[in-house]
Amino acid sequence: MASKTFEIRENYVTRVEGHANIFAEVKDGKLTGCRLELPESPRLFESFARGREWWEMHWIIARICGICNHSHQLTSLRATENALGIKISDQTFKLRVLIDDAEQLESHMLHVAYLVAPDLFKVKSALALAQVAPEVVKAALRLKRLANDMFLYLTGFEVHCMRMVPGGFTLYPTREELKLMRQAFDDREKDVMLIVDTVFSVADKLPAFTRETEYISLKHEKDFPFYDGLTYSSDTKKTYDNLEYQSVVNEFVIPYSTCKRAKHERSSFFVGALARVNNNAGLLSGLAAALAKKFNFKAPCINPFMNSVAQIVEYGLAWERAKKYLDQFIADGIENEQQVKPNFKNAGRGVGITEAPRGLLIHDYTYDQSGKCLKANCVIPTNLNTGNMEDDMKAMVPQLVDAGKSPEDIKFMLEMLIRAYDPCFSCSVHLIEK
Amino acid sequence: MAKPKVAFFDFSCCEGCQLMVLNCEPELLDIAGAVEIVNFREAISDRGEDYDIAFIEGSIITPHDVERIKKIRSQAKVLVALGACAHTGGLNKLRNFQDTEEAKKEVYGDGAKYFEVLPKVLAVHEVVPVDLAIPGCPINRFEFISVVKQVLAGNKPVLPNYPVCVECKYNENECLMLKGVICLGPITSAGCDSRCTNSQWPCTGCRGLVKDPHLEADQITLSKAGLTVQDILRRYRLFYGYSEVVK
Repeated sequence: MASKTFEIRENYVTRVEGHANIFAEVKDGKLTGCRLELPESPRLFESFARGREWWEMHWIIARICGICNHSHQLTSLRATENALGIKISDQTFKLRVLIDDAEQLESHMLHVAYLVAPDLFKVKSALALAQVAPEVVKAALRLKRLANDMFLYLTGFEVHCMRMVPGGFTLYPTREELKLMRQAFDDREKDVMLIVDTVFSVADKLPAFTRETEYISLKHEKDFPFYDGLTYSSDTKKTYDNLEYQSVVNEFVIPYSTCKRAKHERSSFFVGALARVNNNAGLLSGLAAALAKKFNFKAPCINPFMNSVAQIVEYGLAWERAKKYLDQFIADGIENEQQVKPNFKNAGRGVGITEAPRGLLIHDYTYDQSGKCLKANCVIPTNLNTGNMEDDMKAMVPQLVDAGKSPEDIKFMLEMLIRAYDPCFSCSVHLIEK
Repeated sequence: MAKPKVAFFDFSCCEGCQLMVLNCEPELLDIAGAVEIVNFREAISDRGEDYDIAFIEGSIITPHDVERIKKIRSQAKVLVALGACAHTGGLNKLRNFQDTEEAKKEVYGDGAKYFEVLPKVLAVHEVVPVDLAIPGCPINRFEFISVVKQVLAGNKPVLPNYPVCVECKYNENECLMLKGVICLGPITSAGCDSRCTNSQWPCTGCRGLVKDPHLEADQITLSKAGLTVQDILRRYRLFYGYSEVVK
């Protein structure tokens, strides 16, 4: 093995959102260079948020990302509401939890079925998968439509929706629409089982690589946190106040990436489904607990490839919680509430933190007393994860070289690793230096 | 007859328009059956350099983007701008009203020196000829399907050249302006089925100006509603940054 010398370079990894290049250099069987490069063009989003008004910030800033745009809007609204002293109603809070569950249902199905499953079946895409397993792909498409229809009824549109505003909603779903959404869950339950069984049948193809790292996510006492909770570290076992987030993420700039890196207790940390499930394992019940058991998922799990399994567990969780909330709304009805108005006298800084499908998402805004934005900072999950991805690559390549894997195999495994994180590189390039 | 080869390419944007293509769930497998998709990095691993129709998403913002789009243009028989960022430059053009070096410093601090960008954000048509555009932020998936069908049939799709108000009336919405909400529907191209105003959210102009917009009347209406010239410009610049009227 000692004579092995080769270089791996893959420009523009496919089946990920945004652009990333992987590079590894092995000389005489030793890893001499290893990088995850992010050549995404800088769009300088935060700079053009300045001077915009409070009511349109979520409309503008959520355009950082098409895939997790609902998460961006939810986070942005929280930041604006905190900055302007807007207290939302219980109904608005519950509707947002439901919308966040729909976001996870949409995004996790896209990731697991379209982007990850082709690797496990050794085909190039979901379209190729449709040749060999058409029923599975059609079921995944129907499930994605279920979540997208929820967006149409709850937020007005699938991507860059318009009904969520600071302090509430512009329009609410009718009782009929609530019933249609709820009915879809009954109609599609078989599809979920088909997808779960299909992924389970190839779950042994998930690599057995493990590496200890720090897991950072929201943590909540009672309800599994996508929309609500406090930032928590698995290393310090502590939660952190929203306004202290910078002491957790500690961003820095490196030359070969338009995306900033982050570190806390170690050289890097993990955010995303795996971190959330690891840090909130005690809150799993029902379908989510059954799925964790089926896939033999035990927290803390330190295999990054198991992030896709953690997403399946979360899928079960969001599935059941969404059903419960829809039942409640159908039983109690939805009030046509007016938007809660801001209080400009107390305008200042506000931080919103939620869990996007791919991890912790932070928006931090400062407003003046006319409600215009003075400063905006967004911390994006993929940016938080890139250091951890690179550290995984550095640990994994030597193991694969020792196991006698070919450069082609190693390249495939590295791409699979990057995809497992469900990265969103075009989001990740808008980070600010303080 | 051989199936036409189709490629999707992303430049600077949120990739939400490609996502809207993937959101055509009921039609996706039929579309994929009618063409041969040779390049769609967000969704598939194959990468072909031989294609007839290229869909371009995103704005041109780095010198590298310029080289890449020229290469794609030389290969494609039909080049389609997909969504606002490719069509008009979209929201990205907000940067054109700022000092770029200062904006880079705001976002990346001292790290700004690592990144090279063009002095101005450009729409695709400002660099290479564009055959067709599907406007919107993001695109309307029904319009996408209709354009694809027409291109495959060898027709040139005609997009609406009337304002959003026409569709909004057709959808029986109460006019937001009458409720004191500033809306850009009267000067913005339709084709979106007035999806924002249907949700009680004002039009912000993502599909671009209608041809020969009645700007003078619009500006009088907006100033009567209490907007200053700066306010009006700020509204127009969100998506009309490409247009001479806001420069």
